Amino acid sequence: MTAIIFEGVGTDYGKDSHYALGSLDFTIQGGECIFVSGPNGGGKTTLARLLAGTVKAVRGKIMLADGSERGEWPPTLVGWVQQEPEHQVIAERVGEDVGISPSWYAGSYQEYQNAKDGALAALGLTAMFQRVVQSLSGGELHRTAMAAIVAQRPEVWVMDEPEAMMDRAGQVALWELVGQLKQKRATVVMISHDARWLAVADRCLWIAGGQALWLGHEDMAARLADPWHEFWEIMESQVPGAGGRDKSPGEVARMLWP
Amino acid sequence: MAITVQGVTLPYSGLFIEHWQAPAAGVYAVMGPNGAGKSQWLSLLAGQLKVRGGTVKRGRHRIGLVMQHPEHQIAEDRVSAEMLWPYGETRRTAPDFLASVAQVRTRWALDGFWDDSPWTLSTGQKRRLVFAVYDLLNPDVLLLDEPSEALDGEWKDRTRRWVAERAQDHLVLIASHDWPWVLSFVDQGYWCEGTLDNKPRDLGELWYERQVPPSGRLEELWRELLDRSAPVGLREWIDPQIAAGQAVKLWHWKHGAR
Repeated sequence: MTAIIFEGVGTDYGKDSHYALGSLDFTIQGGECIFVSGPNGGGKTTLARLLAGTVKAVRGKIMLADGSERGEWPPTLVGWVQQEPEHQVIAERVGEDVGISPSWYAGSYQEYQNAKDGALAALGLTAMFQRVVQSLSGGELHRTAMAAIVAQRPEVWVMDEPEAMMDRAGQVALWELVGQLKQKRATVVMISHDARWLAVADRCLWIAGGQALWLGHEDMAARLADPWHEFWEIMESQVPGAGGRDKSPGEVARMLWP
Repeated sequence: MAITVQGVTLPYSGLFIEHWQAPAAGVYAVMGPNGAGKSQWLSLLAGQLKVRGGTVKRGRHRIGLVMQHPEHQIAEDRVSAEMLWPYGETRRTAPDFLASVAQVRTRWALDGFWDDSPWTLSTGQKRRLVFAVYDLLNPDVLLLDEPSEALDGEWKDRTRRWVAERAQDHLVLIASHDWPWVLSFVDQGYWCEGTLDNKPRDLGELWYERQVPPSGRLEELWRELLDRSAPVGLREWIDPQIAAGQAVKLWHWKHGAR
């Protein structure tokens, strides 16, 4: 797994736009899970676009550890789950869309089929592979977009609010997927307003007003009003020695009501 | 309210609505898994989905639908034009209208990008713009499809306050997967899976009965406590301060000091 280096990176959407991001100077280590959050319009999705290569840096450079710049990266290196799945799903049917990437890289029909079927199964879409994408609900479309990235087998995952519009079953599948990615030491950039991702994050990045700030987990939890964090702040202040912040909810329940 | 739906089966989802009559006013949630037909149902009520059988009566009510994807409802090249296109020149210069526009601009913080293209906004900002359009249109019935998606914490709070205020004398239906958000201010809701409830039910009971996998550790703790018949309320986990207060009581109870 290779590191991604941001060296004085800045970008904007033209002189008439209020929106700009940077300067960014940091390194995302290979295999890290970075949790990115911040207010609406702050620049989080622009960071995703920079990594995906759909927006170019107007200043500085984004490089891999070997010095290769963004335009030179292999096309399957970065997988981008977009915030709006409609921007991403382009085929007529679910199975066709999920199979687009393997149809380019697979060396055999069997490899293509395995990659496609595995990705459909990972997101619980096996029974829906023939569905016309226009007939899907928002959550189903989001799962289709995610399955297409699973089939792409990228080394770097950029996920922009992937839990949006998903029911709890879909969110469980997503959580398991991210757990598997961490086990495989894939690099994950998780963009979300949902404090749950703190549990899997190695580092936390707050982006607001186009500026990026690294935060500790506690600071990020406080900014996102993480309910678990807030709950334990009060518990620990009122019941000194209660302990349990790091216990599982089941253990805490047994502690409170045996 | 004279809006009724009778004997309708929706395409794809197969959702069957035997009989549904709209409540007069208030805010109600529409919950259920992905693909169950929640968005289709809202489209049906808004007159955007035609069905072959059954009857749908809308009376003379003005019904507004804020769709899941804000981009589906944006067509103009300026935020100002997006807000004002439904109104003729005479209306646009009326003092009461100008006062309403100013109020809505302020409520949704649109002043900073009033002359910008809506297409340059972030997804959360686009959603705010569509809310503002319907805030100004002021329909009798407002249908909101996944309204909390892509909003940061501050805007989730502000949207909640706007909906709650509006629901005092209007009907608002909210389709969502965001249980913590809807439970924080919505008392009753309909479950949508195969069939649609014909009467709204207590949303807290619905949350517990449906055994949806928890969205976070505090919700999981509360479900565990309820499963263990601990004396806690169904909705206390929504507010970490209330939850902590209740947990402190349980702790003292267990340790013999009330």
